[in-house]
Amino acid sequence: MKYVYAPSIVDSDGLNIPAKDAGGELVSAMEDLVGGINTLKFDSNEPRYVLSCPNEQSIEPGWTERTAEEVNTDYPGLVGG
Amino acid sequence: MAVSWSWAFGLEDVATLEDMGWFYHVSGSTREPQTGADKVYSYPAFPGTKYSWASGPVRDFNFPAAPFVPTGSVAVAVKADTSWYQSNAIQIIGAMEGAGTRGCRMYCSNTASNTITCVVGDVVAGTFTLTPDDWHYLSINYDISTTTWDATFWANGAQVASGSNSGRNANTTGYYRTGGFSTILALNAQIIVYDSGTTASDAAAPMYCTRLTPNADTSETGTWAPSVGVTNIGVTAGDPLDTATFTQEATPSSGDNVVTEVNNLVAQLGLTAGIVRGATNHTYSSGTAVQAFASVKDSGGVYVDGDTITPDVADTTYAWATTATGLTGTSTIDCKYEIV
Repeated sequence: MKYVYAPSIVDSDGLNIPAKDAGGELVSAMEDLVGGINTLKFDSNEPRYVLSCPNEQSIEPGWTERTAEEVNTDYPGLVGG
Repeated sequence: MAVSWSWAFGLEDVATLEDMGWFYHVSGSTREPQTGADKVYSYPAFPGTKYSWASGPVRDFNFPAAPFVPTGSVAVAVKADTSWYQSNAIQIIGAMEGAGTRGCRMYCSNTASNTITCVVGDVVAGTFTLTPDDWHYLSINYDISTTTWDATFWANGAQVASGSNSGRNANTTGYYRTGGFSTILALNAQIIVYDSGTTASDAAAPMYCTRLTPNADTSETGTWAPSVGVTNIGVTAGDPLDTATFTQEATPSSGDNVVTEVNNLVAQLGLTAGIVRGATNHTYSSGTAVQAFASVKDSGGVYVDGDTITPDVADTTYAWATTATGLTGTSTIDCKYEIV
């Protein structure tokens, strides 16, 4: 289990989707998501997703891996709270 | 706990289903009932023939809007032949708002990895994987009745995601959308809608939904004349719905009704069911200057009436009622149609 911050973009249907950095441009990362991911929080202010991912999930460009403690520093009580 | 609506697909075609309130978004390709061991969601003891709705890629559809509940659960049995169709626009199952374009839904986000994404409003709630070529029992427990939507997503009895999304429409209407979710053939066997009194885990527990055929006339008030033969079941219990046969009250007055029954439940199911969560009576009628409703009960219980409808002469009008009270694996189920 790993925790990641993934930037978010709005797709053509208006859905806020996890994104990745492709040469300085944010593009959809939906096809890169494996099964077993849970959204802990969608932070519309950043905007970004805080995701709980299985270990086989790759860390895409633009994503930041965080520990549970670091997530809880940014979002008190979000992990294990 | 209460089932509020249930449906098992039979031999009705697109035109008939559309007349009953279904909506098909795209024409062409395969859109038909199919049967066969690998096409139906059933159990070994079932003595009859089951059917599933088979749809080609992107041939998605809506169930009738009338049975939609803004707070509750929807459970379906689905199977994707060969591979899932990857598209945000094609729902494996979605509980969609009536006034807008959002919903609580599951769709395939990666065909190669069989990844299914769960969405609440405009936020991704999570992902899970689902094998093609297998039957899966999917359920969404949702509340889209307020401006903050909540949902939990379930696959084969286990929770796979949950989420919330604020700033949405508070809905009183909506519809369930599915179909077209395979690159080859998408199969939908059944749908069960539960009210808000049902826990998410109960609604997610896999259940078979089986189409029953009334096998005896129970009673009638007024004078009902079968279009052919001498029994009401002889003209109303057909599968599929056939508008060419019917029973008719020529001079209807308030309170006139016709009741048929299923008194051989064990024989029709091929077993004594351990749990019977509900029974839905589906009726279709036409008429002039009348209103009517469907009703259903366990023979030892009290009728549960459905919403009143106004049939016309141009086509048939769908009316339904569901009871979840008193039913057991050996119940006699009374199905009534009554003039208001």
